[in-house]
Amino acid sequence: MRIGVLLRQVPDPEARLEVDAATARVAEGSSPWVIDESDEAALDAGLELAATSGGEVVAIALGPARADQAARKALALGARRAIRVETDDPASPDVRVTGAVVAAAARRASIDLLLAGAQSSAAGTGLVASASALALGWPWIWLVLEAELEEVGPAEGARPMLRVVQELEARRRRRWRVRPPAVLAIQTGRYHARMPAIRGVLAARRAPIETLEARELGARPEASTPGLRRVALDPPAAATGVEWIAGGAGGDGGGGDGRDWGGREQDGAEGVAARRLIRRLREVGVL
Amino acid sequence: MNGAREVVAPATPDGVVLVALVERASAGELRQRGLGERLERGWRAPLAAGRCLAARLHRPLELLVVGPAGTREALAAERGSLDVVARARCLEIDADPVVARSLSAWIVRQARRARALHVLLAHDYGAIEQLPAIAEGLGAAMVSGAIGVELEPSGDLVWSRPSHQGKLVERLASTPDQAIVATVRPEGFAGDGESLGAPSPAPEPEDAGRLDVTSDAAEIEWLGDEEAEGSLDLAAAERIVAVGRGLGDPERLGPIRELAVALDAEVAGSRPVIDAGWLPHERQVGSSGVTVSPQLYLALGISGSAQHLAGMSTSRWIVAINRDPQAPIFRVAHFAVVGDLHAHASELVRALEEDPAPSS
Ligand SMILES: Cc1cc2nc3c(=O)[nH]c(=O)nc-3n(C[C@H](O)[C@H](O)[C@H](O)COP(=O)(O)OP(=O)(O)OC[C@H]3O[C@@H](n4cnc5c(N)ncnc54)[C@H](O)[C@@H]3O)c2cc1C
Ligand SMILES: Nc1ncnc2c1ncn2[C@@H]1O[C@H](COP(=O)(O)O)[C@@H](O)[C@H]1O
Repeated sequence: MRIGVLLRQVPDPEARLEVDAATARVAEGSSPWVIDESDEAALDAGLELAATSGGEVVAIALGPARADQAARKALALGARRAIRVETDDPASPDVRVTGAVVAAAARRASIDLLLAGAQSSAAGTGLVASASALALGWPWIWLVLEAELEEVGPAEGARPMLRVVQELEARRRRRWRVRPPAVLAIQTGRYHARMPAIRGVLAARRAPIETLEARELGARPEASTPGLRRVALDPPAAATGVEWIAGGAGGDGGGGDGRDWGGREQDGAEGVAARRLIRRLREVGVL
Repeated sequence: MNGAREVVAPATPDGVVLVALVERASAGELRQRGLGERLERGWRAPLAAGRCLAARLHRPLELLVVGPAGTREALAAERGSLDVVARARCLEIDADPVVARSLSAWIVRQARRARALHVLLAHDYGAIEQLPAIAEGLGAAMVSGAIGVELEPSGDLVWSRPSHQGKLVERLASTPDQAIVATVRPEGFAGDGESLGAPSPAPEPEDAGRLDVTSDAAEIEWLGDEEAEGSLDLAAAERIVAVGRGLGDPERLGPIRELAVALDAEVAGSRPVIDAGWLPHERQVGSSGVTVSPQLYLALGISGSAQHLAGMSTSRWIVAINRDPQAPIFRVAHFAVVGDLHAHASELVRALEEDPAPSS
């Protein structure tokens, strides 16, 4: 079984994001780029399925040259091949276009099972797996918590069926049986980011990454005319109606409003904030 | 589930705005609680979005509701709150999960028949999973999780949706004749649509016919559902102290538990905390966890993603402690503290011990 795993780079979740207004994208230099958490989970799932089925993993990334780092991490962890399709990031505001490119790459690599992250912490449409599946004509399942291959006897010769646990809302779960080729969108929980060993990292440094243009892949032409244009990417309007509780000096707590906050000389900023917060919670009657 | 792949009939530029809503409860659950709460919560936003679009584009608004037996009657009972809906149709089905997967093909047929150019759905798991199938059948582009839409002088529509975990808002433009299928977030379109049109009851919901189930059994088979395990009723807690990934290390839960004891609160967590095994699953707050609405919700080191907010934003008093002043959690908080959660948690414990609540 050849398992394709989609890898998307996202800004480091802890980074303060800056936007390049001209392109309506996150400024390239404003943050380190890391593999999305749900893609790390998909990679973990892919490596596990490959190990149990004697198959192999092919990493697929769409993006600019920096996305090679994501592909290299997958190689260091044991992926057999890595493909990067040269695109902007995000590939397109129209997910149908992204799906068509992913489908073309999956066909090129003769993938039998395609794994994606359920929802990235960047665009976060949650639609790339299903859009790719449609373009491939394969079934798909979103929010997969666990996937396992059924045992097949040698006589059957067919591809094994997948058993899948899907997350539903409000802590419920649903179990499915799916016949590959299929697309699964992996949700975090059971699967986690792996750390490559030094040996893997060194070997991956020299491993080739196949770089392709979307055009060369022959993505569907009717899907390459995007129906949406990204016109802006902005921070949301400032929070309103929130009361900021500051720390500050002891004494009256430095509230600046002449009220006695019950602060004391020996309190640090956190101590002052704690007393103010408790005072306010008592005033509104919740404590 | 891929039954929607038919030839794409271009929607007419003068097409209707269609709101398509799916009730996934069982017939029994529906009989018990009606559709009122559903309309109030997850469905208010797509309906407001529909009203808003219909008014701006001068197009009729149509409503399609799918649900278990009894849905049509329940919908008729709520007609008064469905102002400006020109036509309401209702499909009653058995909510078998495999049937639910072929709903998209049926919605596509209905949308074509109504010549819908814009189809709006609630942003729930079922709709998100099936969205591309609906979009493909209509030749539509997709907007996932819309919170607003503006009409430009050029006639273009500009859709807003949160991206980067709510830290940014993305604006996507579509031309006047571009078909769009959008899921609408529950927090979206607040204040939109209320003043549009005189509140007149929608017409009696019509029977929208039957669903011909196209079986996917060869490629996909439903094996069953599992209810959540656990005996804790987090939703019943009056006070909750919730920690997020900012905790950094499960060893540091000690002071958090002390704070919970001092406040007489339950301890809860965001998804990464539960995924990492630091707290059990029954203590996860959010769309895939428990929905809570306590008197006091103290969020420590939680960024405030849409999925987390879905589970706690109606809490009476929300206190957020986070070292990032831009964290989206502050947008729903009543009291905000910027700083290190560990330092603040231990100071809160100390302050509560030294100054216990005046006995009443
Ligand atoms: C389908 C789906 C369902 C989901 N369901 C849920 C759900 O039910 N519940 C849920 O919570 N999530 C859910 N998620 C995940 C959600 O998208 C977010 O990834 C998650 O809520 C983030 O959790 P967090 O805020 O703890 O972590 P992060 O987003 O990583 O935020 C950590 C925060 O801690 C702050 N911080 C770090 N260190 C400190 C410190 N020392 N002191 C103070 N602050 C600090 C940071 O500034 C940051 O704001 C779901 C996702 C999907 C795709
Ligand atoms: N540029 C990309 N390269 C590779 N995979 C991607 C890309 N964009 C999206 N994906 C996949 O689609 C998933 C969902 O993306 P999103 O639409 O941002 O929620 C991601 O977790 C990835 O697995």
